[in-house]
Amino acid sequence: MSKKKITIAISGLNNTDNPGPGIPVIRGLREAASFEAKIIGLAYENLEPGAYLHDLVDHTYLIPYPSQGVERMLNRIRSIHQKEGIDVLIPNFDAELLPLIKSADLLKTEGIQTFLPTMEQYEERMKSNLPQFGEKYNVLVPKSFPVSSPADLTRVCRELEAPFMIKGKFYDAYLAHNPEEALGYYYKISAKWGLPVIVQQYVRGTEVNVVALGDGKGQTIGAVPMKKQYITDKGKAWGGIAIADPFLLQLTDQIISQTRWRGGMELELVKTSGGRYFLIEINPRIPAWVYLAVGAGQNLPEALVHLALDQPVEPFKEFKVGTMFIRYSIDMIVDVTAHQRFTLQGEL
Amino acid sequence: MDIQIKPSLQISDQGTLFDPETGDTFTLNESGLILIKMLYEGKDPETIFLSLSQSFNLTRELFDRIVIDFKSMLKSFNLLINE
Repeated sequence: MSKKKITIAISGLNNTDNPGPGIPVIRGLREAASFEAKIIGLAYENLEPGAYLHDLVDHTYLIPYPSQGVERMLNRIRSIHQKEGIDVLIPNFDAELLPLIKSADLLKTEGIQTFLPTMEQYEERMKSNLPQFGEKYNVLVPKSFPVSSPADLTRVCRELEAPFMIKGKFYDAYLAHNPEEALGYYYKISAKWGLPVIVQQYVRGTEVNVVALGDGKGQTIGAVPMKKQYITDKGKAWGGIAIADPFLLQLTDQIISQTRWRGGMELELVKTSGGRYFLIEINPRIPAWVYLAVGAGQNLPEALVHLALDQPVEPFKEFKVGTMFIRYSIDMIVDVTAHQRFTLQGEL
Repeated sequence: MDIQIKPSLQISDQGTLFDPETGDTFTLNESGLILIKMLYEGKDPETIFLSLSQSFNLTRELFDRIVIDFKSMLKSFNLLINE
């Protein structure tokens, strides 16, 4: 019997040295046992590698950035939907999450299902709200403050102990060893991602992350903790290993159950040499290293599609501890006419 | 001397020790591998000494010193059950 076909639109095809989660999510969907995925790529730039990976992505469309107007972006998605009949949309780009959370009901009436966090869930875990989140849910969080001016930054740096992490509201994080260095990063980040910029107390230790999926009713559908083994200059894991840290699994269950988290998420933590865990970030989407979870036995992208389609999903009970990932980069050879066609016609 | 190794540790015959809770991997030399396997199996120091002294020409004094050092190293890597 042939498997059911599901058309899934996916963004975050920027598979660069700071990769978006699109391609790893697609790799999981390609391996789905329960359906056959037709993958529609949504790209913001004409050089996003995923657009040219034809063995993974069936058809890619250029779409406008949310900053160019949400209605414009939605209209583009609607026109793609008319051609392709999108069943499920999985956004993987931080800046598009908020407008798509706001538009989820509208998209649903038009036949496009999503499985995203609620507005409240999205907002309370924002970097600028993390200290309040930690207090509310009894999770250890390093001191952090949103700043919107150089004067604010100087004041906050005086209140903290160097070094500091200087973070953009969506992406980017830099380690600053003194207020002067922090100011340089403040300008760099605010120019790229806007204000506020977040100043966080640096915590020394081992970086551990968890990729997880919540069903929106308080149940964890799956969770795989990972220790970063090889970290790039952008702080991204280039290699990692699935670990059976009971505290991380218990913390994930606690957060998902208390917040009734809906959708994919990534918890970023630092474990100190004294065995304390500091939550440094919660990303409200599937992270780029999700394929480790797939490889370890939890196909979270496949489960997310079922949740989006309101189909029952059995929680994963286990994963293969010790499964590792090692990222690599590859040079694709692309015909210039494909690039030209994509640029001019907006689809490939 | 009581040395209780975490039961979750995975020891390979090739001489690696993997802690699934932390993802840390350690390499062991020949004597280290024998020692940790026997500790893992819950053998008491007397039995371990008798076994190792035949292979490595150990005195009891040297063995005791090695075990103390080894325990301290295992503790520093969080490989022991919390005491």
